Amino acid sequence: MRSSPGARQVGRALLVPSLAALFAIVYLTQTRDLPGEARRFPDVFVLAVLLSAAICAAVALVRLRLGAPDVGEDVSTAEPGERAAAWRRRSFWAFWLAVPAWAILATQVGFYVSAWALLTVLGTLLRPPSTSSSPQGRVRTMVSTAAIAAAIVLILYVLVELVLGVWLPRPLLI
Amino acid sequence: MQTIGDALGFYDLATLGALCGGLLLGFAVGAIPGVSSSTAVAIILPISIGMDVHTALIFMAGVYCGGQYGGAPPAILLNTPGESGAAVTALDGYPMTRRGEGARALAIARVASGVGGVLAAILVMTLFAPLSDVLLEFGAPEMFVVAVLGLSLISSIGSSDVLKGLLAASSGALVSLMAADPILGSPRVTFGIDELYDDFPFVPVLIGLFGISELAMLVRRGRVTDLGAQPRFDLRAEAAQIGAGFRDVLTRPLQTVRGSLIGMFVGIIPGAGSSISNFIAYGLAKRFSRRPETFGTGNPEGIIAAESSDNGVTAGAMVPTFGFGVPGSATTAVMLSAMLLHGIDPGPRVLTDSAPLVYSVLLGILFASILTIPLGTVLSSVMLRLVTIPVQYLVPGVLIIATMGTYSFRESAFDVLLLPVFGALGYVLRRHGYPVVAFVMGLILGPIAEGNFNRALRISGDDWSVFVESPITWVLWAATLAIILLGPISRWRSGRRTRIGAP
Repeated sequence: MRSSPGARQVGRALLVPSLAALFAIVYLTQTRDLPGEARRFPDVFVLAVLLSAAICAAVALVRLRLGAPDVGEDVSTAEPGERAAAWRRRSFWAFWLAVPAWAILATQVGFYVSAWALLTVLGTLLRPPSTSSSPQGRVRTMVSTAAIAAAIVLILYVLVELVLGVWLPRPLLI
Repeated sequence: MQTIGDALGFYDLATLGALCGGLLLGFAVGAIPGVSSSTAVAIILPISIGMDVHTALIFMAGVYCGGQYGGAPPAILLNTPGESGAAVTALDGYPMTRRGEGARALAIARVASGVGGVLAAILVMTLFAPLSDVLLEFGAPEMFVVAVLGLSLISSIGSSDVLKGLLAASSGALVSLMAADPILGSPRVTFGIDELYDDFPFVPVLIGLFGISELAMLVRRGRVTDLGAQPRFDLRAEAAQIGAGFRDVLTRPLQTVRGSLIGMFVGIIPGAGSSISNFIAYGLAKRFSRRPETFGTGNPEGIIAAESSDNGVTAGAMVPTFGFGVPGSATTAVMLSAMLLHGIDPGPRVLTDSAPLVYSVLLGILFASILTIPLGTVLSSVMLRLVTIPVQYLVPGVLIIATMGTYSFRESAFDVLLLPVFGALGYVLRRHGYPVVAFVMGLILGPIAEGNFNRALRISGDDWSVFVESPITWVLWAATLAIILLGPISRWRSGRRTRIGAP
């Protein structure tokens, strides 16, 4: 059965091939002034990426037209309900905001302080909604998570700095 | 024998400790659905750099073996496979649990895993001696074609879609070439960043692709499993069943040997992995069984086939990794990076130049397989608790360890910033069905292929016919072409048959 794919579906289908093709073009433009010897091997892969990206994109579009879009790894759960779905979406975006923020803070501000913040924030946000339904409940959860996080960071500090002797960025805030 | 004696010389208290530590870590990550041994090995990669190369590789071999068995307890007792290969174990393991024979099924899995791993390790050690003579015939042109063959194998076998595999592998290879060119030292797409000019940052890239992307998948799912209650398993109460499980395996030596051999041979094929080998072993066990109708209803032979094959893969995957420098699986891809970071060039010469190292890793697999039996018995209940670990503790905990490892590797803030970038890339690839392992294979094989490509052309005076001169290269090119074409042709033929058969 044929169906007209939406712009969102087309965008999803073309995302990886477009990213790969874009990278290959950037690679090509950045290396075009290099001597031939330095370029000849990567050029083979630039060609391979461009070709396979074009074919992958074409195949993905044909599949969409036929009503059989590409599927990736499954992330579905047995958890029903709109509330659970909204929580999962929120946790997902919180994770992707937290990871780069943590990377910057850990290296610029200090490892242990940032680790405590990360454990507290993600520990609270990733908790299933049933345990933190009311505002007071959420505050209680956050306070207890912060206390557990502090204990974990302390253990981590003793293990890493005192037992293993590994140097990590100094915390500026303590 | 002399080499094995030298390899045994590597084993002291620290090495055995590393092996046991690796095995326990492997049990843990194998038991948690969504966390694989490749992720664990990637996260410990920076720690392993501070160790001796043999201790580091033995540690990683322990994680690999532990991860292979670790998936079995949740598969058998909860019908929740911790790793992909364990899905086959669940077919007969879970029905046994439902009729009250969970401890017996677990014992079968442990003994079959252990015996399967031991047999495959011994066989690979025997195989390496004649193989090293053959491998010495491989020069730079042959090794270049081997790298191309490896890329095509991983693209087609390791992925459900050859085109997606090829795109991922060639993109990975191109990314790995974002460094100074090895002949003239000219910077290629380094954007003036010193860290990119020096060396390709394998550690943050591997941790990002495997580790961070896996954490993102866990967050997206919302929980490790859909199980609510904590499962219970009492070792003392189940002692009689454990004895029965041991007898089940020991009275069926043929099934164990067959599973182990299948695992080993499938493990040799890059990208094939335990999910393929376990299904083949299971299918053959059913075919040759006197009671094939009982498969899927709790037949011990099904568990024996799956688990002996599962651990056979581990030793088999070492053959292409050490012999050709082509990783046999995602975990061995990270092990190969560890070798490169330690300055060891895997490939034909490694079997002659560093034979004791190779044999020490295979002995590590052998010892780890033996240790799986007692340690797995004692730790079954702990492994089951890991299945229900809440995401809100697991995710930030692993994230902190991953970042710590990345930073401590070369104390570079740039490396830490690469984590979210490659984590996001890994997530996008997985969500759209592009195999991350093919991308990683490209990353690792890209520089190896380039080195051999340049060497071959320098030797031949820029004569490109060097890549098709020897009979070995003909065979390798033919195999590459066959592998690339086989998938699309068979899919086209099956599609045609379906269309003809349709009313």
